[in-house]
Amino acid sequence: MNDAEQPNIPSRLEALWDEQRDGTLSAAEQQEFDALLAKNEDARALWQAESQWLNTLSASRSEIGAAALAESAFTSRVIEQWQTDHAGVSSTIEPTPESNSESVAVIGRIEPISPWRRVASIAAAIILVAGGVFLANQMNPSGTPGGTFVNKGDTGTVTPDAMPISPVSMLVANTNAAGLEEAHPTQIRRRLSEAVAILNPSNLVDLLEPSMPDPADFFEPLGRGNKS
Amino acid sequence: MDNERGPSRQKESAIVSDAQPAAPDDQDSPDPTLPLESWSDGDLAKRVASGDQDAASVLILRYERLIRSFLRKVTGRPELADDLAQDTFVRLLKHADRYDPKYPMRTWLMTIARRLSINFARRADQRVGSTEYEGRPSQDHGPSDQVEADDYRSSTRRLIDAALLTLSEAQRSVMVMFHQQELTIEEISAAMEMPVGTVKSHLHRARASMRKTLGSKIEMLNA
Repeated sequence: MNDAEQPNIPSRLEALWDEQRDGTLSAAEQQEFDALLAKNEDARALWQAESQWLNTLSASRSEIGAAALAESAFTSRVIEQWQTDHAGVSSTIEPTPESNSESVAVIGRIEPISPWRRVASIAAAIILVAGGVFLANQMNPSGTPGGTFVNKGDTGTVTPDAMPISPVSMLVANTNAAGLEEAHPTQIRRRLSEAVAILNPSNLVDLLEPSMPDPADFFEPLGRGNKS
Repeated sequence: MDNERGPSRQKESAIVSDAQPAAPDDQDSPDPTLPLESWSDGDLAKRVASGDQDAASVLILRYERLIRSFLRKVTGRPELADDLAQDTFVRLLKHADRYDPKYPMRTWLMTIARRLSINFARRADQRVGSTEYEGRPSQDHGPSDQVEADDYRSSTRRLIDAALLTLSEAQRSVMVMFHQQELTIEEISAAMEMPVGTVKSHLHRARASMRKTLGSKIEMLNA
């Protein structure tokens, strides 16, 4: 009998055949199966051959001999690898195999972001410092707008033009005025343009350049003021 | 003579493979004076989770033959099978704290082993662009196989190995789990994460295919 000459097994016998192999045959079905098999010689031969190779397959479970199992190389290799991985976990936060791909993906996203975060932090710090310097200068009572210097000890009348002006003081002082533009239109425009200029990155660089003088020098003309 | 396991088969094959019979998990903690070999899988897993190497060795020895022989039949390559078995046990030890004693350890291990073998096969396919893993009869037999090359049993085994490798991965795994490892249909269903009906379908098709491949060849060997 070759592959092309498989015996024609009745469908009922075939169904019982699988049930028997699966171990789900009832006692009555077992009797029916035995009777059908007894009537069909080809099917019986095939059943016996199948039983033979299934027994061989079952016996192959122990093909790894006792000697091979007694040799503890396999166990020690597993333990060694486990310990190596365990040591890695205690020194680093190692993601589990299941979460490995996600963790790598997150790290992959963080890495490109980090340089930008650093640049943004530096820029924010520069803006804060520059803004602080600008406001400090505006609030400095020794400085005057428009390059008009006030002498030390000068008790003369202070004209509005000579008063130190800051955006905050203007806002507070002119709440009842016709409007900021009416009160100090020239100063407002100048202050705004100065603020914009200071926030310009190229000017920020100039401002913090070590070779540039301290901005306070422009407003604190020690020994160079208008002396009367 | 026959591999005829009657209706009682499923009852008798509880958690008994070649593994040492494990004590039931019906007590909170095991008696520390008892040898580790008599401890249940769940108790051993707890010890392993706390880094106990002795408990790890006992668990490995308990299931080593089961996993290695399963993977040898499924992959057809003993050395590869042993590497995959090693990975299987390393995963067991690393994640021992996740083991739920309500489920059989061998089912859990089978699931891990099968997933690893499938992953390997996929990677192999991607590397060579063809099935390096599936459908290739084993050429990698040990020294004892060489000595017994003409032995009837060895010849039959080789025919079976070759026939197994002609099956699909799912059919082969079901076939080996059921007829070699003697897992129940329900256990296979759990290990392969597929319905019982699908397991039966794979099993019936696998047997029919192997019957067709081996029928005449086994008769020739008998002649």
